[in-house]
Amino acid sequence: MKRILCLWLPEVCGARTIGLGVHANIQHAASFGVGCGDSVQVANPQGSEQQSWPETLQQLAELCRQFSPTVGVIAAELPDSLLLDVTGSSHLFGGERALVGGLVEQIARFVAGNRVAGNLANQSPRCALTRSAPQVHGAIAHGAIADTPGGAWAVAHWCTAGGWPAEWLCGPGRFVIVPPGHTPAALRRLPIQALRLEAQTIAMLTSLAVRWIGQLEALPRSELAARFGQQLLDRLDQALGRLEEPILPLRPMMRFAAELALCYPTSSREHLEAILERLLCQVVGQLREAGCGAMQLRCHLRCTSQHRAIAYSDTIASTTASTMGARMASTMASGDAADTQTLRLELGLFEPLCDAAQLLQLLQLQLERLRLPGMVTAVHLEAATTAPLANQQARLFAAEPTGGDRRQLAALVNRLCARLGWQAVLGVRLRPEAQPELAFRYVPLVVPSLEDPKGTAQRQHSQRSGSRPAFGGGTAFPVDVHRAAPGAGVQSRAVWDELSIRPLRLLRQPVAVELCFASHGLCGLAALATPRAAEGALLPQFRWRGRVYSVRYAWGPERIETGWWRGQAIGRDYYQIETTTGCRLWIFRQLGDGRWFVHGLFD
Amino acid sequence: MPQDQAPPAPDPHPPPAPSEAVLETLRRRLARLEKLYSRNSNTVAATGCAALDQFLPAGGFPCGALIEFLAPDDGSGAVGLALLSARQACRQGKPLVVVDRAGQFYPPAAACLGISPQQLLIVQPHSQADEHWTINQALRCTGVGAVLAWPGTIDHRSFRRLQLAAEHGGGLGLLIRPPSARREPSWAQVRLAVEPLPGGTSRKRRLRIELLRCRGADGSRTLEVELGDEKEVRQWHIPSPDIFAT
Repeated sequence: MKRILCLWLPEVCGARTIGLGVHANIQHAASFGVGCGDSVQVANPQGSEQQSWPETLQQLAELCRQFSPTVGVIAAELPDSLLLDVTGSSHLFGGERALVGGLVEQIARFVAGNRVAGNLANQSPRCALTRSAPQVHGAIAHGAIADTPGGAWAVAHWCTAGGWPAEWLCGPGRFVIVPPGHTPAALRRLPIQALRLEAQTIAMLTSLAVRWIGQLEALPRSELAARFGQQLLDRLDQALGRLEEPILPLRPMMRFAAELALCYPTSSREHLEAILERLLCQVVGQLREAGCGAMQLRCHLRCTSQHRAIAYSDTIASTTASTMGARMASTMASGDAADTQTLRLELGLFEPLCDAAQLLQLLQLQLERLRLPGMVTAVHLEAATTAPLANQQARLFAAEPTGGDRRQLAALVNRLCARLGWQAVLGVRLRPEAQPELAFRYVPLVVPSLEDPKGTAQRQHSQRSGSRPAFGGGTAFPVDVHRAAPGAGVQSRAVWDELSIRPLRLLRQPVAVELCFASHGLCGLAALATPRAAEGALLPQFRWRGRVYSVRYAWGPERIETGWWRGQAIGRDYYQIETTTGCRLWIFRQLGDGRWFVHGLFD
Repeated sequence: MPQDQAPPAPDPHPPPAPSEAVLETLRRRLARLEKLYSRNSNTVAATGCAALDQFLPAGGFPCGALIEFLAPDDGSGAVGLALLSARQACRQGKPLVVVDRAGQFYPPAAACLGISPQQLLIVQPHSQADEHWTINQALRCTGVGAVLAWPGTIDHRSFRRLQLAAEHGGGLGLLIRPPSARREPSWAQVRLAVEPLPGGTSRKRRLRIELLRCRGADGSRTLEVELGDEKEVRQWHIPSPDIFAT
């Protein structure tokens, strides 16, 4: 028989306190001071690997790993519980009571540690109470041990309900240990909410006066399934132990970082490169152990700047920020001494890379463009984003040419991004849009910079969807039309087949042209499109970029009227024209005011 | 050479008049010698235009070389011509790197010409130094099929570097340059001046191509071609593997 421990941590991530039929939303997220952030998600068995859990839950899972090899969660509305499989491991700690005692003590220490870490300001009243009354410090961790994950979850969340036999209670806080084999009996006296059902189902059952699991169990199964769906029965069976329910393990947190504080500050490039090489070797070692490659590398250089040099460094900060975009930003560390400054280098990679020499080359590309405001006192290196490394054949000799065009290409993209920034190295996706400017979209090839809010959104997107991105390794890209569904791709192609030829050069903005022949003008273009008119002596002319072009022939019009739903309606009649010199331009007449614009060149 | 002409005394045994066969042998030996210096010149990429293929002595553009197109920048059709050969060079799914500093390259048009958007790698450098560096890096990479760039002015040394990079990488370096570059020295293996001709009423493009420089060609020659066979042009949706996908 299995023994599952469920730890209910209502304060970890803004949990819901559920009484007997009483629901109250109490946000205790701030009480730990360790932000739960916006990453609260409903667990689902399919995509659990890609999900992000509250950081506190991750840390607590790390803590709990000493008691059980399997620490995880189960599907529930809020990730406020941790489940430990303690089957056969409780005797190592002197029985289940001793295990609970040890666990509660560890958690209390963890909570105290977090408080000391400077979060006294955002404590909730409940925590203040906890702090002033030491005898209830264990109340932060409610919990239960039962035979099934579902049962343990249910008992843990109703452990404060009262009415439990005294010999089941344990620990300084509320902890219920259901003896082996008593789980069904314990569950029968709990409300149906303990089965983690959908609100709709609960409401319907309540209206039928079914409030308790015992009542539910007494109902005929076939009718339950027909009326409420299979989920209800599954949950019931899982809680009662008739159906297996897996615990979704939380994988250990990985941090790949190394840092070095310099006894003798330096500003020499050679020294810095040597230091970086050393740190890279450490980080790469950690990565290799985990079978990962870096997708994004962050390097922080802490510099001292003399009082005189502060203004100087500020100007550098602004120039680097303007010339190199968000990639390389230089910020003043506000909390520390005013003369310390942290320079950040960021490296985005096309494919997961776990090679110190190549990473160093890429960092050098950035380092050589960096002007240090002062002496470097500390260097911190971190692989901010990682992805599993595809297996590669190890090379026997370092000088052996690296095989595979694909790897060469990845190296090229990495180099280009390191020097030009991720915004400058782009892939292309076509979009089924009629408006020429919007008919395609650039997609960056490496993980966008961390500071960029859009990039963050994209990264989270990929984590949630759980799909492999369109490019490279574990990078984040919006799911594109061609790959999302086969049908979508076909549709966009069909659109393209209908279209006539497009110019190879499209001006960023259409440029208005000046007509030379007011009498004839370009209005005669439509007439010109017929062969007969082409013989006319008076050719329409216009002036563009200081030159006069005489229109010899025109094909068109191709009318494009679109965009009204974007609030920017366009109506254009496009013509492909050939001038008397043989050059071909793409011009259009705006439908509203009849003005003419050059939009592209058939280069 | 002056030393050879110096002896005034007539040779008692005059060499036999060079026959056509001898000349041909010598030409072949010369060509073989030239091949020693460039690794990839024995492969030739078709230009995508049959008339131009016949016009070029090697039957196409040599791989691992720079091809220069001198053309006015107001819709002359030279880029389209370059893309036709890029399509041939990227046939095996290799990417086409477009170094587009002006940011005016329009990928849907390339798609119309038969280059899959998934094969395009657009790089937008900010400065000329970055641009030259990018072209160099892209040419040097063996995974790249062709590089299309508008490098503007290139000094002698960077030009030579580009040529060496192209030889290393084995791809096509397609450089679009203004007609004013005609007087500048070039490291390109093939240099073409492209000039548009006013056509008839069909959409087909007529171009006058002048071969300014090409190994194995005798003097400068001129060709008039007609481009834009619509049926050929619309074939880009032949499924090509997405090179950037895993």
